[in-house]
Amino acid sequence: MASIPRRWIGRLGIATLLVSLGVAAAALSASGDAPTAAPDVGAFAIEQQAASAPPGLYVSGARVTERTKERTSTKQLDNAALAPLLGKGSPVAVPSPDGRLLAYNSWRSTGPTGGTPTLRLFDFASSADIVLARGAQAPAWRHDGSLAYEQADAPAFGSTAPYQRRILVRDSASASPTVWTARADLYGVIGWAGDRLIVGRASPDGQSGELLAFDRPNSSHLLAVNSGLVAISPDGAHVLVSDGGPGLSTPLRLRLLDVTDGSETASLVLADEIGPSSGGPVEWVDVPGSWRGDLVVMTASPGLLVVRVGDKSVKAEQVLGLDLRQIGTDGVYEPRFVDGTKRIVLWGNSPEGTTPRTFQLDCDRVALTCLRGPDTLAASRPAYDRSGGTE
Amino acid sequence: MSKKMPIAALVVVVASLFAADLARAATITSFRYHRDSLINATLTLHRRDANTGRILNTDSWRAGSGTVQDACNKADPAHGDNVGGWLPTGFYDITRHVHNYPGSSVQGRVWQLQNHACSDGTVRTELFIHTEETSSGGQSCEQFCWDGPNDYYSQGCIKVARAGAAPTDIAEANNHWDAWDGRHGAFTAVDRLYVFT
Repeated sequence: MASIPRRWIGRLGIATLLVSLGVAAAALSASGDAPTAAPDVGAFAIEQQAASAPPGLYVSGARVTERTKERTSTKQLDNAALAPLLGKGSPVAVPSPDGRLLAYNSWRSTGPTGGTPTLRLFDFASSADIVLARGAQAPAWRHDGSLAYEQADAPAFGSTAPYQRRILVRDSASASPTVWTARADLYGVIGWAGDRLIVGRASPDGQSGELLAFDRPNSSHLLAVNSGLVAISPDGAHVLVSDGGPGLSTPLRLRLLDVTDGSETASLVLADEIGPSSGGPVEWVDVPGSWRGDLVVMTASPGLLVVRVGDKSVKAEQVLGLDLRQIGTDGVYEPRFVDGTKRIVLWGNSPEGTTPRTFQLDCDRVALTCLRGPDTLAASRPAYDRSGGTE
Repeated sequence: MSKKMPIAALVVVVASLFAADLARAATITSFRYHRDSLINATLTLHRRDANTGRILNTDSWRAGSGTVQDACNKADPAHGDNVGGWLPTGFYDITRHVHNYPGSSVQGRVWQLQNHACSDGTVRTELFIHTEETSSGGQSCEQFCWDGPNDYYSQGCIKVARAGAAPTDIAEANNHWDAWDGRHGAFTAVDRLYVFT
């Protein structure tokens, strides 16, 4: 795709996509997981103020709700789940692999931009809710119940000094932590890839960074630089990263990297993909994405991008438009596959300047419909782990 | 300072520094950013009379901020997130102005801004007004090089051009600041950037 001039896209690109996606749809059908006719490009029709209750684990303020097809249960946390320093690129709450515990980020504010992040642990059975570490955030569970997080030397986040953190790992939630980075830096926990811990390290000016894979304390290798980490594969063997884009030296692309050594297994140049409404290219993709089976969904400039990842390939599956103006938001975030890979749930904020509210979008990527839920005051977020290697 | 400096010269230096302080105290130099586009917005620098508010000097440049139009979308490279929205609306303090900032991705003539919370509480951090140039103010393609309009995209910072005939936009902004305000290094200039739609 990279070699195709953009002016040809209108003629060649759609035809190419249709052919390749026809093959992909057939493969999907064979897998029995999703649809027989998922359109390759298109725009979602939005049904406003539509109630929906997708299955999964969600937090909203200090409430945690678990929905299955059979029942819905809600528990009360001692603190609101909040992560102002993480934004929407990392989960605000992360369930343990056995589903018994919830590690969640909370925040004690000391002003408009100051405060102390605190990592808390909630026990679903007893409703016990304890402080695990102050000045700590970004938990990620390993398949065996080990818990990684980052913790600042000075817990309070201020306005000037860099908020340097170390990476710590506990063998279990009740075990003492082991320091995995002897030196404090602008480290961030992203998730486990099997037994390796994927960590980001931002540059001192906070504008760029590198992705590292730690095998054990103080032992890591470089995976990528200046890249977004879209998702870790369910088997923990690969990471899907994005790099390049407008204003950068390389075109926007997705790269599939082997976690063992950072080598590139496959790549997809996105700058030539079609946007459904404008006919223009995909200009950006954002993280985090959701990886289930061999499909990954992520937010992108047109709305949503779904790609299919093979052993040595990354191919565009769908480029789907979301009319943010019609939905009434400045942006959407944290798309998650639920119920297989046909249904995608994501969230949005009310536009800047209005009372802060959030809403849920429950989308069907085959029928190209989205149910836009009502606005709620407490920010609603999915509880999930970016880790892979738990399957 | 040389011990041989004549007393008269010393007096002149001290007096000029004092005069500069007085001038600064009597005027306020501040930026305004009209956030009506990701990469085709307007950054304006005013010098106003501190007592009357009358604008004494003004200049404007094309500017950009963010990659997406969501002020709560925080770029967070430490957690593998490189996409950021444009700056939230409101007032910002300027906390630093230097000519030779040596960052790994931001270099040269910069104004550093205070952290700012967007409407849902997300704290935007590491915010600058800057361009694409090296710490010495030069061009080193690809990373520190102004290539064209796509360079107005950012992770949230406000960017102005370093292109065309001299003085470039960043040079004009820098020269005006130095003449109108004059502060360098780390300081706190309260509410010296206003972002609005």
